Amino acid sequence: MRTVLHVDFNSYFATVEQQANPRLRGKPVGVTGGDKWERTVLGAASVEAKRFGVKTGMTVWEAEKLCPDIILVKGDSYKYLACTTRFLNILKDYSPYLEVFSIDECFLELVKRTCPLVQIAQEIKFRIRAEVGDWITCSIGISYNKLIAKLAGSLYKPDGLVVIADEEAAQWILDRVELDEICGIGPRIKKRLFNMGVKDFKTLRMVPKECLLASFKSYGETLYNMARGKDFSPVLPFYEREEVKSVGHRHTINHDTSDPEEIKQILLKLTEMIAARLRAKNLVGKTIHCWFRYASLSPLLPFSGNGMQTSVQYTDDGLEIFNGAWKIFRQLWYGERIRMIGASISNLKPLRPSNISLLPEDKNREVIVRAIDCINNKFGNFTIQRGTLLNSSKVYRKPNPFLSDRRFKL
Amino acid sequence: MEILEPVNVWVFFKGNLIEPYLFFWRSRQIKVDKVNLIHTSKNGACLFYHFSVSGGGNFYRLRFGTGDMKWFLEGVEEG
Repeated sequence: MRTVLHVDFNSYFATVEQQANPRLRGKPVGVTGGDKWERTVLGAASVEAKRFGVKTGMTVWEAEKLCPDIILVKGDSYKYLACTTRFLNILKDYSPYLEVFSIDECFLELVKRTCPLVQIAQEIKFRIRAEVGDWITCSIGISYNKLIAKLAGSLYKPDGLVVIADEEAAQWILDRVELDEICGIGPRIKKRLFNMGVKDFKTLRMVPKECLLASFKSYGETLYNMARGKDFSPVLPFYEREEVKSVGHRHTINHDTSDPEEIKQILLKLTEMIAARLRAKNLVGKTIHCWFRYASLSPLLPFSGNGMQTSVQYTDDGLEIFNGAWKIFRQLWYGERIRMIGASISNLKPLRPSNISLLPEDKNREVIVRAIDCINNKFGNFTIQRGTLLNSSKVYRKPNPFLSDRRFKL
Repeated sequence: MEILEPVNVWVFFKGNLIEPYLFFWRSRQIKVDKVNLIHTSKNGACLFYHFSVSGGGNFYRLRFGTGDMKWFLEGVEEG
């Protein structure tokens, strides 16, 4: 039987902030997305803030209504990545089968057991406190597969340790939790199951496999197995994860705007950042995607927006990506005020082999772009930039706190 | 409070780590009681070490830049 540990950090971003600043400990803390406090949402809430009903994803306004004393702290992804790197380095000592599920969550499959499981888990908790920070706590779930280990980890928070030894115990617990408490069943699937008359795992186990396959296609089999506590997915070591499939950036503007010049500048800046990342990875892409969100955040239509994609010749040039993205934007935008814009490029392939252009302007462009990349890599993004961007609003590249492109660098 | 003021810092070298011991800011001498968290950030090729520290019940964040080898105080919470 396999032994899988699910390690999940509690209120991660907020706890790291409390670790850095002890004056925040024991107080309700909300981590925001930056210095635009009046329009940002909470990236995390501390355990103390959660007691007031504050949840991740709430607007600052909602959080302050529930907890007037909440302390808002500006998020710092560098800080969270530093802690993640530290705890992953601890976990690597126990097994090479370490899957990074997100910045604060991972699976560890033990292949060789030297001492009792609970002792290993307690040692991991102790080392995290000693080597990452004395305020940092995690919940550990231990079971025979990833699905049930994750369920075990979510049963007792904060600082929990739960073992679900076998399928019998798993089914006993499954019968006592909601359908969407399992990873893989979201609100939509839950609603579809409800419409079928399935309200819990006990009923789900009674549904024949053929019925689930007919309703959910191949996912029906997964649901069939889930209800029985079965999950055959392997733990994917982080160093074996697939390479990136797309490169993109988005930017929430600190005010609503319908000024085409301003939007153009932001989009150009984003596409230049995308192109620089493509060149750093020696990749070119051909499918450009552009999307945006309207300014109004009505409760009926929260975060509504629009987006579309188009294909161009394989490119790693910021201006070419911009042209594709701007064309999409112009087709979808009718002058409304927007609050966020983003672009990405997918359908990636390695830069070489490729046809070498014989046109001198292409060669010159390549030389100039490589020189600009060298300067910007040394002195920081946008040290050298297009003249049209000189008076543009500041757009920074921040490390993705969800480790989207950092798996291989740990 | 976010600031960015140059400071003089005394540090210990412990193994392969540096740990601030004392710093001088606005004619005051502040002793570091505890280093709570160390993290790094980058701007181009320049690496910055950020030390979140406590001293006398207050919170400070010190920054050491490897490019110019200078220390700055970038965050203060006192009182």
